[in-house]
Amino acid sequence: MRTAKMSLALFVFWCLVAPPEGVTDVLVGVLVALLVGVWATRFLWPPEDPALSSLRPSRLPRFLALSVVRVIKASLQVLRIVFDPRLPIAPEVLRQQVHFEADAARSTFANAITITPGTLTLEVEGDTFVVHCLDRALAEDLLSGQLAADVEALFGGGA
Amino acid sequence: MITLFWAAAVALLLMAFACLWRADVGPSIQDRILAVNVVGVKALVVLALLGIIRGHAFLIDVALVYGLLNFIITIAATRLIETGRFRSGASS
Amino acid sequence: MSALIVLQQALSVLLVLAGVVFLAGGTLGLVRLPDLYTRAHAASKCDSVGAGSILVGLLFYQGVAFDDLRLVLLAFLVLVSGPTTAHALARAGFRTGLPVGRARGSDDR
Repeated sequence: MRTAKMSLALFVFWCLVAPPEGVTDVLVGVLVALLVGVWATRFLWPPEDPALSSLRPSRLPRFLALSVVRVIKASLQVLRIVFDPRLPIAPEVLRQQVHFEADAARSTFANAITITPGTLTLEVEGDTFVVHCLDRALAEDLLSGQLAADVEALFGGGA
Repeated sequence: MITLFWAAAVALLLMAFACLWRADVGPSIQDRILAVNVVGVKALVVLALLGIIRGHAFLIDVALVYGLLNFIITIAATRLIETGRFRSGASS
Repeated sequence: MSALIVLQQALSVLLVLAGVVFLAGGTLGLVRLPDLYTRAHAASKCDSVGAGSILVGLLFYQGVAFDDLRLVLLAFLVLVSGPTTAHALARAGFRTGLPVGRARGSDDR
């Protein structure tokens, strides 16, 4: 079943990247998708399904838009620091305790931290997130808990 | 327009050389990998620019494959220096 | 009609220029910042935004056609892979015990 899903996804990807012209292209696409699907499900991924089920697709667009805004803000901030001759940074390592039910929520949160202005995830140990920040004053999105709230909203509030 | 794209491509190439300097001196092995990864991202963008400039659509495909390889190589190298081998069942 | 094309081209120029500035920032950060973690900040944020901005600019230049889905995929790939690689490298540095710099100096070698 998972192999079938995987192969279907791969075939759709094939059609997007190389729009098939004629029967041969489609056949080659099906063959390659099947082969890679079987190989990937057998050797590449852990046996259990990642728990994506609690994701709420209706909230995805808002989260993605927020993330784009955040990453642009983050780059502007880094630009300001880098082009300043004094290099005004005070790097610091913070530890943040946040509990999520799903593994997917945890990794989404870790990636969201990396995208947020001034912060970068170093390590995740259970519910503890070790975060490097450029400057404590710049990490307001993380410290105020706004980010955790956003991720929780995306995954249906599993706190 | 095309001139602008050429200028952007040349600027990116110059930046890639600056990154190579970091790959040369960069004190830790992670610094070097990071620098090479950044060079890869710039090469990817230059490939896409060239594809538009010259009107060769296939260069976009080359850039796509280049980007994927760049990503996988970086992750594999990171895994290697972290655990000492590529295949490790229980890393995080 | 032509006004639309002019707008499209202007947007394209703007995005490409912004992308070059962002990439320059990322490069300068990679060269100037004092330790691995801060460099990873610069590389992950500035580079992915800069590359994404240039690719979206190229998309506007071409006009939207089905063929251009590859450019969108490329931009998506860059935006996703940048922070991920930076995190992986920073984690490797953290696990192998690379010290986190506190100094405000520009060179810690």
